[in-house]
Amino acid sequence: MVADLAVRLEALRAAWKRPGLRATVWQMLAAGLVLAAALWLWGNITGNLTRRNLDIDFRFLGARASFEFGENLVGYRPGDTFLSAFLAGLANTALVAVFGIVLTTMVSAMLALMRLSPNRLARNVAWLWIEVVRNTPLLLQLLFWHQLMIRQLPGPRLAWELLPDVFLSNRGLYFPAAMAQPAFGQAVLALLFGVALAWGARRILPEGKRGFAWLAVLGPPLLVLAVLADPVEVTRPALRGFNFSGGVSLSPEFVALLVALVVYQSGFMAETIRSGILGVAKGQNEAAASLGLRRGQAMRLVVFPQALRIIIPPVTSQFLSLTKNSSLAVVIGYPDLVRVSQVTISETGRAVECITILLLVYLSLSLLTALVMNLYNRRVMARGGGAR
Amino acid sequence: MRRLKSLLLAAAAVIGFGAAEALAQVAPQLDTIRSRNMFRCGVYDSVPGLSALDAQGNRVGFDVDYCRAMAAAILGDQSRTEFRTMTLAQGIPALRSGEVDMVALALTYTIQRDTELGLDFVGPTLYSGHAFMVHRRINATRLTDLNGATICIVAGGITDSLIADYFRARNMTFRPLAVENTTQMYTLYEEGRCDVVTSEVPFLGMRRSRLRQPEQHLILSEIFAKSHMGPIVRDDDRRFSNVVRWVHFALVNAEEMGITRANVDQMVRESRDPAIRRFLGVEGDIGRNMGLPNDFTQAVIRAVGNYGEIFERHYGQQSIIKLPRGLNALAENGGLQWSPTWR
Repeated sequence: MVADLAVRLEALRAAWKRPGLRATVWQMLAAGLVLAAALWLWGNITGNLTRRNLDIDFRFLGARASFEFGENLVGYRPGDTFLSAFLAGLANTALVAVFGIVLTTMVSAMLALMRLSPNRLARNVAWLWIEVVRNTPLLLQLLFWHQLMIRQLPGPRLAWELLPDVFLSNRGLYFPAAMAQPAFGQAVLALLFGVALAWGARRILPEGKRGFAWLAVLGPPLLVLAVLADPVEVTRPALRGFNFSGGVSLSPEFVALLVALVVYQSGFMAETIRSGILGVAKGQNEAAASLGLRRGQAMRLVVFPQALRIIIPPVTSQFLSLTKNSSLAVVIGYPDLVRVSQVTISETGRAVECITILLLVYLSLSLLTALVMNLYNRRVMARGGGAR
Repeated sequence: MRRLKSLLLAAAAVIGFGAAEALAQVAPQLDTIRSRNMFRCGVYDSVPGLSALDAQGNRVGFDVDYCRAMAAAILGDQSRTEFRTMTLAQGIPALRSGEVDMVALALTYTIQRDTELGLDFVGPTLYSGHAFMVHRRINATRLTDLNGATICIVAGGITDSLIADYFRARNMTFRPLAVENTTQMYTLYEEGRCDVVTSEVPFLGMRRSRLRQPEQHLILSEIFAKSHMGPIVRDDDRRFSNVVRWVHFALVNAEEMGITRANVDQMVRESRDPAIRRFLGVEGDIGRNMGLPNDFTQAVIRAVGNYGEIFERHYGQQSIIKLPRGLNALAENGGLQWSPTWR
């Protein structure tokens, strides 16, 4: 009996020593823990909600919102639903994020190249920029840019006319806008057709003359313009009453937020790009030079494509933080998603629901950015064998 | 291995604790306050008149006095008040989540807040209306002059909806600039980012006196929406709601009876008037039946004085803006403040 038990114990011990079983047991334990934590959280939330007589209900999104939101891309007006107000907020958030990502990429690439430049002035200016913006809080910078615009720019009646019909005042930048007319759609189609034509022409034309193919781009749209009436109607800003109306405007809040995000985030990203460039083996540069490539060519054709592999993963997370940091907009009064949720909470009291929406939206924006960047990363990784 | 075991134990403890907490029922609010011996009150960080720090670092203001009055009534000591500073947008969520016992952010009494958001209003402790202040240089004197203006507002209130309704009905437009707190709002207004700033009349007056050139700013005399304000509590504890509502009535009743901070002790000792003796808890057991000390009204008046005294201190003759009592006078003097009969 005792011997029997000993044998069984021995068998158990032997089984325990097989890594497969052990790993399974530990993983199940870990999964159990995670599940338990999730269940506890859920229980806590629902328990507290019932204790406070609150419930979760998203139907309020269909109700009419009566607040004025200001400039927005989706055309929300007071009297529309809360859902369209959220969409308006989302559009404004996305606008800053997209412009921010594009501009940050350009500025930081420039900064990185300046940091690596043999020119001492360029190097030191870039160094100063990077050190200052990386080592001060974003919130402070945001307030700084906003205050700078409000305090330094004149009121609308004394607005600076930078170019004919372009006005800069503390109400923002106003410029003439081209409003799409029916012919606009056809012109765009013609342009797309032209691009396709040029693409095809490039394949046919001999090496060295391919540049001419791009002339084909202009042909179809010009033809359309010649045949049809004005595809666009220009509206110009004019001072009416308190402020300019007509044209398109960028509010000081939008500009301040954009500038703050770009300046701040480019400091970090420039260093990432620089490290990526320096991460490419020095021999690559020397090899490019020995092939007779100029410095710029070596950077563009040899070093940068390889640096991209190092750069893209960390840059992805910087794009994500830019998008998330844009929620600081609420401090200076840029009407973004957070502002909509604030008003909605105060009007409907649906705090849990609004915060959930905020979380989900920022999460999906981040996941979307990450997805795009990962696809791009895969392409970069797949291109060309290993030079190293 | 040992580490893992302790981790498991900790997790089990957490889960058990969570379950226990979920099962616990809500204790009556008065008991909760007494057991922590502290009245938690949500107030503005810095809105002169309502709640701000004075030169000695004490928190003073109209709303602050209401918080202190509650602490005096329930705990017998006005200093047992814990102030949690918050913005307008944070107030209602903080109250509903139980972070504070009362929120005194001069919220406007609306049907939706009362019936849909589960709040009970105290008072109204202040009757007023929303008005606009403009830079004199823009030559606006009437509300209809404000078409197309940029208006600074505080995010999270109902002001923007009120303006939107008013303007929409008159085919007027405006651009809102919603910021987090009032200090920021008035700064942006003064720098000219907004043409117009809006708030309730007394607060506009208070702020105008603090602008660099007060005479350069005009408060339009038209009021575009009424605003009757007061502190709020959750409406899930009837007993507690009664206490806070009746502390306000006690303040008004004290003024009606002519009881002030200065003469309350004398009144307690010498008054032969049975109504006053009942009110001050010398006779009867009104306070006791409410779940309070029987002399809670004495504690309240000793702490902050009567309604008129609070008003004069923060808005009236003893303040910078010297606001007339107007709608906030006692009903017997033609105003709207009154107390139900104390018996």
